[in-house]
This record gives sequence, C-alpha cells and structure tokens, in this order.
Amino acid sequence: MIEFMDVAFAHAGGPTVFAGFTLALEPGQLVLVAGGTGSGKSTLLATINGLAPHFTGGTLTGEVRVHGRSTREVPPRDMADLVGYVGQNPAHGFVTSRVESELAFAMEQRGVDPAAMRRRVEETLDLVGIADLRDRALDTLSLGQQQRVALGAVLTAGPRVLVLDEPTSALDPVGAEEVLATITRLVDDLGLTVVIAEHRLERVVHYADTVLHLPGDGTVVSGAPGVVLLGTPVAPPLMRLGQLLGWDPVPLTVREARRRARGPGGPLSATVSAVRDAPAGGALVLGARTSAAAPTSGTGHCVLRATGVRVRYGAREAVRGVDLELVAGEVTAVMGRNGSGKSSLLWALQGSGRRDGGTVDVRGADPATASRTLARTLVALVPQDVTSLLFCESVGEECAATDREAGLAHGATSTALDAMVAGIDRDTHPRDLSEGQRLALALVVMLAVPAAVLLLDEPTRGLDYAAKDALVAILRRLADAGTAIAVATHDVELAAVLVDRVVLMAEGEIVADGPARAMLTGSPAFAPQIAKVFAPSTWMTLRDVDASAVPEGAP
Amino acid sequence: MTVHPAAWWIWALVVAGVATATTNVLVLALAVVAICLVVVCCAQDAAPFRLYLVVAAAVVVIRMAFRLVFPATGGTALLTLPTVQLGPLDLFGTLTTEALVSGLAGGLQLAVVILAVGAAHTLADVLDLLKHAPPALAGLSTSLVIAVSVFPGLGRSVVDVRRAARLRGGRRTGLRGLRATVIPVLEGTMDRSLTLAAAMEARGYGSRVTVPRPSDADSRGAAGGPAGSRRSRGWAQPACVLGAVTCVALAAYGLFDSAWPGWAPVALTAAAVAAMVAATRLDRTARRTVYRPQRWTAPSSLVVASAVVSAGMLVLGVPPQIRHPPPVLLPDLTMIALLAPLVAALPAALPALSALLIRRRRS
Repeated sequence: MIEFMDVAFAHAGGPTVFAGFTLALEPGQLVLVAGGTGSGKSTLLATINGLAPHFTGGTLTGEVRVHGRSTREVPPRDMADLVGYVGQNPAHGFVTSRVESELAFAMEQRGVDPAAMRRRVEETLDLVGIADLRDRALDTLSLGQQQRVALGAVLTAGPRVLVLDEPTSALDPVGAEEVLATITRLVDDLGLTVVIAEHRLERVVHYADTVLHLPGDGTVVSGAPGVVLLGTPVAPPLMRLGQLLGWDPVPLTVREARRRARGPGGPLSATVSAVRDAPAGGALVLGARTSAAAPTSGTGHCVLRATGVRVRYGAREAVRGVDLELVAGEVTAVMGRNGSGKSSLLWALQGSGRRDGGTVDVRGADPATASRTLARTLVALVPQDVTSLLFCESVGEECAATDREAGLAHGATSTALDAMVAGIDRDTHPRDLSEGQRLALALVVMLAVPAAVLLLDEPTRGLDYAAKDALVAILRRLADAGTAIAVATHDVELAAVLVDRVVLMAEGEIVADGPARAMLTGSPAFAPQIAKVFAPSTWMTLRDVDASAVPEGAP
Repeated sequence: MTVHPAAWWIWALVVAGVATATTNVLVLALAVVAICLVVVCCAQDAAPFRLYLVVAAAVVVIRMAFRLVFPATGGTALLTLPTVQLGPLDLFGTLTTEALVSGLAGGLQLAVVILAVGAAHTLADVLDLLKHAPPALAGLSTSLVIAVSVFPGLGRSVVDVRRAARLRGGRRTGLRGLRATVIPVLEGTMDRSLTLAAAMEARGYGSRVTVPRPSDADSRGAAGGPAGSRRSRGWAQPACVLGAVTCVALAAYGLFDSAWPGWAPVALTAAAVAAMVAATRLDRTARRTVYRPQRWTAPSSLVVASAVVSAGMLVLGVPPQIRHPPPVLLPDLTMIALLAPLVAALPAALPALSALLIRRRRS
C-alpha cells in the first residue's frame, strides 16, 4: 500500500515538479508512470523510498507512506526491506563485480545469517531467471541481463514494492520482453506492487493496472491506462490507432486491436482481400514516404562503401566481415540484439573506432587515415552517450567553441541550434538540458562541418514521443538535402516512421538487408505494433492506416 | 580443489621475502621460474600476469642500464666506452663484470617481489580476499571492494571521452585539450558516484534496522553491544589500521636497505600484525556476514607450507657466502640452495594432483 498525501515536490531553488498529489495505490498492482521528458517521472519514483528529498535535495511537502512507514521519519536505507529501487542505469549501481556477490552484498552488509542468505540468493536467482549467469562477471553481461541482476539484487532484501526507472529503454525488443516477463511474474506470483516509469509505453502499457500521467503542469492524473493516456502526447501507437478509427474502448494489446480490425466496422473487414492481394512493397501505401521506400528510384548514389569490415576485441569478434553501402538521401536503420555489433560497426565506419580488417571508402578517401579536418567532412557520428561530446560549462560556450573549431562565423552554431530546437537558454549547463535538447545540441555540434554521412548510435534512448517526432523531422530534412544517414536503434516505432532501409545484424554479421517496409513487417521481433495488427498487409504507421482506411482524407 | 585466497597471498609474500634474503643470481632466477610455473599451472586466466612480467623485465633491464651509465670503480673490465663528462658526473666509461652482476642481482630481487605480488593477484581474486576481512573492518573492506570494482570504469570513461573528442575533430592541445578530456571524465565520474551512492542507499547500505540472527542466541551470546559504543571509539580503529600500514611500508623499505639491522623488518611486521589485531578487537558491534565463505582446505595449507619450508631452507640451511656470493655470473650453489626455490614451486603440482585423485576415486 503506497499512500501519497497531498504531496508536492520542488527542486532546490527550482520549480515545483508536482503539487497537491493525493493517491492510495492498492498492493499487488503494476503501476505505470508516464509523461514527457523532464515531467518529473523519476522524481515521483524517488519519493516512494525517500531518495527524493533525502538524497537528491529539494523540498517535499505532504507525506508519502509505504505500508505505514513514512519517508518523513525513515531514511531511504531503512526502507530497503520494503521498497526495492532500481535506477535508470543499473550497471552504474553495481557494487561488486560478480553476479552472486552482487545479490548477496546487501545481506552481507546487514549481517544476515549465512544459511538464510544462501537460501535467499538461490531463490532470487531462479525468480529472475539468472541461475545460469551466477558465476559471470557483471561487465560481461548484456544490458537485459544486467537489468535482471539489478532486480535480483534489490529483491534479496525482500521488499513489498519495486520501483523501476525505465527498465527497458536501453534494451532490444527481445531483451525488453524478458525483463517485462520477469516483472509481471513478480506481480502475479509474489503479489509485489511494481511502479515503473517508461518512455516506450508500447512495451509496458498492456501490463499496467493503473497509470499515473504527468502532463507537465504539476498535476498527476491517475486511472486506467485506456482512459488516462487517451489523447495525450505520450499515447502509444496502438491507442492512437484506436482513437483514429474511433474504437471505444481503445485497444491496449495487439491481439485486441487485431480482433477489432477484422471485426465489423474494422478497416480490414472490407478491404482484407485487397490487402492480401497487394504486392509486397505496398501498393496500398500512400503519402510522401512511398517514393523514399524504394531506394533505387531515388537520385541517391553510393556515398559510403565498406567491404569486409572486421572489428575484434581480444578473442571476441564483434564485427565479422561486413559489406555495406550507404546511399545519399537515404536513411538506414541498423538493427539487431544488444551486442550484435551495431555500435562497433558504426565506430569502425566513422574511422576513429577499431577496425581490424576491410576497407571503408567515402568519396574516395578512408576516414580512418584521412586528416582530421577531412575526416570530419566525410563521416559524422553522434555517440550513444552524447555528454561525452560536450565539455563546456554552458550551451553558449559550447556553440562558440564549435564555431572556432569548425572555422565558422561567430554565432553560426547558435543560429543552427535555434533552427533545430528553439528556446534553449544559452546559460544552461549541457548536462542540465533535457535528453532531446542535448541530442539536438550534439547534432548541431557534429554537423557544424557538413558531412557526407551521418551516423547515430541509439539516438532515442530517453526521448519522449514529441522529441522523437522532432528528431525524425530533422533527420528527414538532412536526408532530403543529400546526407546519407545510418541509425543504430532498437526503437522499431522510430524505424517505422523514419527509415527507408533496414539492415539487420546478428553475431557481427549482416543477416538481412532490404527496404524498411518489407523488413519491418516481415520480422516477428522488429515489427512495429501497427504492423502486428494488420499482419498480412504491409501497413506499419498510422499514416498508412489513415491513408487507406479514410480515403476521403487522403491527398 | 580450491585454495583459499589468503593462502596465495601468504605464499606470495613469503616468496617475496625469500628474494630479499639472497643476492645469488642463480637462486633468484630459479625463484622467477618457480613463480611463473605456479601461475601457468594454477591460474584459470593468466592474462593479468603478463603485465607484471613486462614490468619485472623492465626493472631488470633498467637496473642493468644504470650500471652501464653510472660506472663503478674497480673490478674486471668487460667493456670500455668513451666517458662523457656532465658537470660533476662521469657517465659511461668502463663497465665491469662486478657492476653488471650486482645490477642483475638487484634487478632480479625486485623482479621476484613484483612477480610474487602479480602471481597472488592472478591466482586469488582481490575481491574474494577482501570479503574475508574480519567483520570489524567491514567499513574499510567495503570501500576497498567498491574502489577495486569501480576503478576500471574510470579508465573506460577516459577512453570513451577521448574517442568522442576525436569525433569533433580539430586539434586541441595543451590546456584546452586537457580540459576537453578532464571535464567530461570528472563530470561523468561525479554522476556515476552519485548514482552508485543512491543505489547503495536504496539497497540499505548502512541501515541500522536489526536483522534477526539465529546464531546470535546459541553461539555468541550477547554479541551485539549498544550501537553507541561504536561511535565513541571511532578514531581508534582507523588509527590502528593506519599504523599497521605504516609499519608494513617501513618493513618493506627496511628489507631493501642494508643499513637497517636485520631484525627491524621482522619487528615492524610483528607490530603491524599487532595493530591489525587491535583494530579488529576494538569494534565488536559490527554485524557482517560472508556469503559462501571459502574454506581453508588441505591444499591451502600445502601452499603456505611450501613457501615457509622454502624460506626456512634458504635462511637456515644455506651458508651466508652462498646466499651473498661475490659478484660473478655463475656463483656457487649448494644442494639446499638449489632445492629451496623449487620447493616454493610445489603448488604447481596441485591441479595435476587433484586430477589424479579424482580419477582414482572414480575407478
């Protein structure tokens, strides 16, 4: 039982995040906290075990009680046996270096009897399904495995409530499914209350009993998922589909939506035969994206040609002889499991990462051996952690430094930043920007010198839907101007609306390469929600459905 | 057939001590071979040992190069180089066999110490060893565990930031270049430390909520005293630990400084042990348990015994003129001096021995 009694929270010297929040959450539920970037999701989660304000600073008024224990009276460390908390990057919270000792750490510190400790570690290993990883070093685990180890490490204290901050945002679709399956098992079997914050609502919303939505105006709206999220900017694609087609109640699962689509009044009830007969590639698809979907029809020519690229780390081969061509004006998604070699490939293509074999040719030059100034005009790479690119104390200084580096007129970068995202205060520290703003700044910094090829490594981690839409618009504009773009991503919904071509990697090799529509709708793991609903057809975005189901609205 | 991590560290320290007791080049070379043999046979992953090998080799080479650059007078001339006068210093000149051999012996002594520590590091997980620290030193051992696990992350973040800086192109040198690396690394480290601290706080580190311990009632009686007594003597324990560390450092220095009397390192080591015992006795309120503690097995005793017997043979069974021979390349040996380093290599036979035992048990 979690009770919020007239809770308000304000950061030290900052604005109020939320106020007047009163709610009692029944035990045994899965509660989803939704909202845009910077709306205060993480802060709300941290109030449950008292990390906010005991650890983060700021002012909390009102009272938060978990099973009768108030965070007003008890510090977070004494809540550990009641509330298990896993932060955004679980790997940064690891204390030891091996799976088993990580699970035992908290109990060792509290002097739990060795026999009881042994039993509880064994139970937890099975509960989160990591018994086969027990002897592994933590830094050799995949992100999904690390997430499950972090879950296990807090579960050994025997909490009644689990608080998880974006547990699946860094994971590939399959890894995310595994983590979510573990979480739902904890809710079903142990009756734990789980509170999750997540950007990728499409992954979680159908498991949620209750949703807390933070619209960003200081209020918290709670209720059933289908009611609270409807019409909000954070609604996942399935809900938007339901809303577009006027379904009531809106579907939360793909199965539900599929039934509605084929039922009376559904878009497939009349056109289903036409859809089946449609040739692959999508004759039904209308709108601006059709021409781009067929790369050969464009004016694009090959800008980057890589042959036999190999990357080796010690005995492990991360990239095994990859051949890849990137075409001007085309956006390519590089997809695959965590650890399939996507990042290593991008870094090798850019030239500053390792490359143990093969050639990369961009406009007749090899970016790895070209001079620094020339290399920058060939390939630009926006790394996964963009903060490592930024080293000034304010956005304004960062822009000025970029001007100097790129030899631009003073203020050019600042103007470009405004064109991309308006209204960023130049005195803000880059680390204080929202994820979307920081990504925009990094893009502007990297593109100060126009490059023929732009590579992005996992750009949507931590971006909300609005920021993703903005990113899509920016990247499409760049592609239309003739840049060849490659994006390594797990985000299938982003891929569906952004890319022209999908390259699928596994074990360091390219296993499939083709037009986005055929690739995404044909793959079980990487299919967007809408493609799953309209399975035999090749619809995959709302625009496809809109254009076909509501023909009078189409151009 | 597992060996307790503490056994490997004791073995390594005793072998390192043996090296300081002799300047016989042959004995020292045999000790190097013995250490390498044990690592090759017993380590599951010998990769970390490579670094120690490189450092040890570099030390030997540098010691010998010093003898070449700064000549010693007297002895058999081996090689004559033109002398370079640099102010008050005479560089190069005549290189004598004696100087070269004493350089080699000094270098080998250090190499044995380095390799012994490297072997212990390779054979026994430091984290495993820290886990077995007495409960009273829990605070100290936990901070060491975290430092050891988190430190590699710092190195990785330096690499990441430098790689990202290269993406921005442009040549940043001097202060500006340093700033472009240092600031993101420090910011990242601060962020990560805060995340770690938050995670530890959320996981109940430092919590004073009592956990029922069934063993308390029957075995220890009233083990847990009032929590207040721990705080009142808070300064005494760190002082003891610091004193112990200082004693060990002085003892190590004394081993290599011939001006110190021979009993000084022994006395200092004893003082260090006493200080550590005092530190563990000062805090009886600490509650900490060890998950799956390693048992002290028969092989552990064998490992320790091999080092102790080897040290005893060398110190008691070998006459001083053999232990510290005149500087010739091939000094005299006695049978015991030849066997002593080989006894220290006995743990290398453990894996084969355990395989043999298992096979016999099956048949």
